[in-house]
Amino acid sequence: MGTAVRRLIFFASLLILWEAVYQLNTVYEFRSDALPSFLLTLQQLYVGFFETQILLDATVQSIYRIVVGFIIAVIVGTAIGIWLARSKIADETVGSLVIALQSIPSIVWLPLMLIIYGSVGTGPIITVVALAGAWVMISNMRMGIKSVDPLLLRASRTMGYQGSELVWKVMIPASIPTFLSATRLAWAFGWRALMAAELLGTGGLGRTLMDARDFYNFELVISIMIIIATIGLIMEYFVFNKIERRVFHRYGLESQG
Amino acid sequence: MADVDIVNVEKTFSGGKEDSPFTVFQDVNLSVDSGEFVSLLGPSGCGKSTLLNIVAGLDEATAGKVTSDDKAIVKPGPDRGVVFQEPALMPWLNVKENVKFGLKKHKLSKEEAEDRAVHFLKLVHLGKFMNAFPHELSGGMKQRVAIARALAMNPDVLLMDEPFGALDEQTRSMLHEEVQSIWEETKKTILFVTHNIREAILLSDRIVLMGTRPGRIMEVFDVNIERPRKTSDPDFITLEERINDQLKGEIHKVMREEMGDGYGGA
Repeated sequence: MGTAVRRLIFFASLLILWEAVYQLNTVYEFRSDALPSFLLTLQQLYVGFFETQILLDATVQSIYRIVVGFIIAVIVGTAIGIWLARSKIADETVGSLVIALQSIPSIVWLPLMLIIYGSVGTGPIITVVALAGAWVMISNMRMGIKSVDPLLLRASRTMGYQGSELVWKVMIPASIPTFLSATRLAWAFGWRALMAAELLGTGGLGRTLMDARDFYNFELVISIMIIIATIGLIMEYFVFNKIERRVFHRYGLESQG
Repeated sequence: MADVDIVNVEKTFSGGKEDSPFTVFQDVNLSVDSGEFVSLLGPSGCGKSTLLNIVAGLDEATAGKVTSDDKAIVKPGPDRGVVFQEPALMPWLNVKENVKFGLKKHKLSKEEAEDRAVHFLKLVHLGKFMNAFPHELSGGMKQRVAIARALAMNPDVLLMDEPFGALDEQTRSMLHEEVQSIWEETKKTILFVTHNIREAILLSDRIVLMGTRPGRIMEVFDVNIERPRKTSDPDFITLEERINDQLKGEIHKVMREEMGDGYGGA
């Protein structure tokens, strides 16, 4: 309770200070250009969501892109990760390719995707988001499967489990905690890649942010930054943290969140 | 129930490119009768766990033959339950689910599997902890779950690889009593690996003393002491000293080899 109250007071003071600086500037004009106002930013958020719906549409579009890209990253990344952990030949060939490609910042893929897709639409952006998350899914799942306690596998074999049963009944359940940590990273990387891609591409919060800058709409720029931060926070603290804490507790592990 | 026959078994590790092959043991012969409790006792490095793993089917013998109930052992199977030094429970399953995990191959109905798991968990006095997760249990309790899991598979042979080695003294002696009563009740054939002489005398019908470098069977002791056994029994003490004398020479041998000339032991 104490922490929550202290936090509330801190943020309230910060917002009051912000608005105070804006109000003082209108009187003393210590900065000739306009400063953003907290209250006007709130107004922009309200208008953008409930009247013009510019922000609502952009948010929905960005969320659609991250969700689709994230799901692709998780499915493809998990499958390839397990494959690399299980097959020595795949690990020696495809595995080294993965390590090489992993070092490319995901936004660098955008120009290539724009050429491949031949348009500046949703396709290339989702691909970049999926690529951003896929590498971390692959490498973490590979490690997760490889580091399953060999004793669990030996014990399972004495109970008659063999071949693919060991993968489904032991390796995959045993690496669920690794999987969850990987999805959290895949989401974070995907979200950052999405914003970068949208700043250069079309639609979504990123493009709207650039448009707002072009119109020199200070408050709209900040509104969009607030939306981006809020979505990130909600996913981090209310989705991934919650799931991770519950699962880690069950496995008897310490949650990092 | 089944007997286990180990005939002229040898285990050699081929080693790396430069290392010469290393023979753990050779010409090992041992017959375990149905319903018998046999301990493999020896210093570390004598290959007692390796021998157990070969019977389990987790390791392959380089030469020789191992049979259970006259069938050659080629791979692990639920006819041979194994209890390891670590409990090896699945952390994502609760206690009851862990026991049922061992029953997947038995094609039981849900109710039958449930009943079987409950029965064996009660046998090891864990009836109150069926829904707990492994990390919520103490070391001794986890090991009891592992024993219940092995027993629930209704194996012909129970293989135990230093199952109480990682436990404290009190927990260990409590589990000794539990294992004895379970063995008397189920009459399983048990092959038990340990380096603890008292533990071996307390539990076994026969003790197979193994030596090292090269690994081999040195002597087999029949334990003709009335059960339940007491460590203060004169027969117990006499046997303990006999085994201890034999074992000491082997341990000195290991120490001399590991520590070189600096070792001053007899």
